[in-house]
Amino acid sequence: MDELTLLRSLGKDVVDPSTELLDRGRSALVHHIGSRPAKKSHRGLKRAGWIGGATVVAAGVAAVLVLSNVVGFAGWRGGADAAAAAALSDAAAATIKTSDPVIGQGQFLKVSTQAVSTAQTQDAQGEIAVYSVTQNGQMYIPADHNDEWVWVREPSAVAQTFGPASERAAAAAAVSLRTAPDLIRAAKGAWYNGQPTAWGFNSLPRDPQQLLNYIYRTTVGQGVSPDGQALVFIADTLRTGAVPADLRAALYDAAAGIPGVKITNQAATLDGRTGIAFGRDETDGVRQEIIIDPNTGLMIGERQVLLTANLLPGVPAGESMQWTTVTTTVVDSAPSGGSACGKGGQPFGGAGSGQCRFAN
Amino acid sequence: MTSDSEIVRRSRDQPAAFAEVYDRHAPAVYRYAARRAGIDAADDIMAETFLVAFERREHFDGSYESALPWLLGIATVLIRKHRGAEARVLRAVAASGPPTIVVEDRDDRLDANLAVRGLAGTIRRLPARDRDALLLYAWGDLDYGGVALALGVPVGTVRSRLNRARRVLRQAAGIPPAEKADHGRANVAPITG
Repeated sequence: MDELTLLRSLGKDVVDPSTELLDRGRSALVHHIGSRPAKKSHRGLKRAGWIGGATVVAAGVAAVLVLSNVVGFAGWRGGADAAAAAALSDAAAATIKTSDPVIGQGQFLKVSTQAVSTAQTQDAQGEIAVYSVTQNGQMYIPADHNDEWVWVREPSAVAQTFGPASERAAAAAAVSLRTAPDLIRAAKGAWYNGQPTAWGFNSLPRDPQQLLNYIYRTTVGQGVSPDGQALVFIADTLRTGAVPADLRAALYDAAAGIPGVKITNQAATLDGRTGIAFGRDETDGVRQEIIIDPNTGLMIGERQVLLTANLLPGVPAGESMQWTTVTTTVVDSAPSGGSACGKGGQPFGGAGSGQCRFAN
Repeated sequence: MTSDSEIVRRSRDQPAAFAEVYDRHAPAVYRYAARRAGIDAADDIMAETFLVAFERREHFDGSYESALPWLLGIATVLIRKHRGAEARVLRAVAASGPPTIVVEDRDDRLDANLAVRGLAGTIRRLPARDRDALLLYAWGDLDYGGVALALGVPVGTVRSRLNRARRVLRQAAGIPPAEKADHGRANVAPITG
């Protein structure tokens, strides 16, 4: 055996990315692409091609039907079931009344996130083992988004295992988890010398139907189904913790317009907090849920529930391998220290290059 | 099938086309990142690789059909910022051996376990540029041309970095100098120790 064969054997036991993980990465990319201005846009024509027979030619003038926020998927295919639609509408009304915390000059919106995500390893025999790990952190968003943001990423730990193979995989992987907190500090939230964090909430429509059309257009081609992906988009947006009340209300009303959305649990508990869970069963056996406190209309969190046993090896039906809870408060200060690249790193390759250099 | 370079070129005018590059290569980028920096860091590295690649798509060298060397080159740069994670993975292997080891012959397994532990410590101490070349080759499954493209250096430089790294590894693992070319990779030049 030579040194290369040995080297290749080391690390053969890792891992294929889970489909959830791949989907998340893809959504991030598609979002990013969507947020960049195209140099030359053929988007309108492309969409007309996509809807096929809808192109109308009359008197030598091509009239192209373009999906827009006004004309789209939302509204004419029904919506969430009646109970879910009513509860979402109540939540929207409640959340509008729960006024947003006012962030004064020099203060921060502190978004505390408790999250668990799925990890997966494949051993030499090709057996897949899954377990879950924590991904907790606090983000301090300044009143003026151009100022410095601070992101504390807590140490990561194994959250849950499912049987002996899962325990072994988790124990083996535990060595590569983050063992110390990392503190990242970056103007405009440009973490790791990347692009500024720009959610673009101000430009999203507040009319629920226009918002839902916007969501269908933005997520087209992603996920298991267009309706399922629309709910995922809503969950992802709410999960930022930084959504203003009027947009939050519009997102709830938009969710009420998604066919197949229903109340999945009147009293769902996530990380010790209880609210109404709204979800949609997907054909791949996973249900995306958002959980809302009916009294305040605030989102408690979101989770993905596995609908059948052993969809992931050893994991029983009804288990959630992936969830997030979000709490927001206004604070007077953010932790000091840290850098744009975390752990003492320095950006290089120009601002926004996504590159960092480490002294040692 | 449309080549990667065509897709990247098309994405300059039609940005959405770039998602196809992700669909083709995200798993390979993830596996490479996970082997080097551990699974916790790998998902960030994978996602960031494609964001950076998208921003830098004007710089893609279309003379190479596959986008994978270019993507792994970006991932390599990103892995440097997770150097702590990479060092932890290697330290853990050096201390207690790999979690599982893939060896065809069962009798080889014990020896291999010991040798791998030595190897991990040595990889950690290699100069970064030698380590990058070695791991792009061994774990990224690139050929010499691919490694050269990924690191933006001439092929001759890749060859000398790999020769140097492999010599150090052989010594660390107690393997006598190679007499023949590396195993199972007919498409590359033989090692000239």
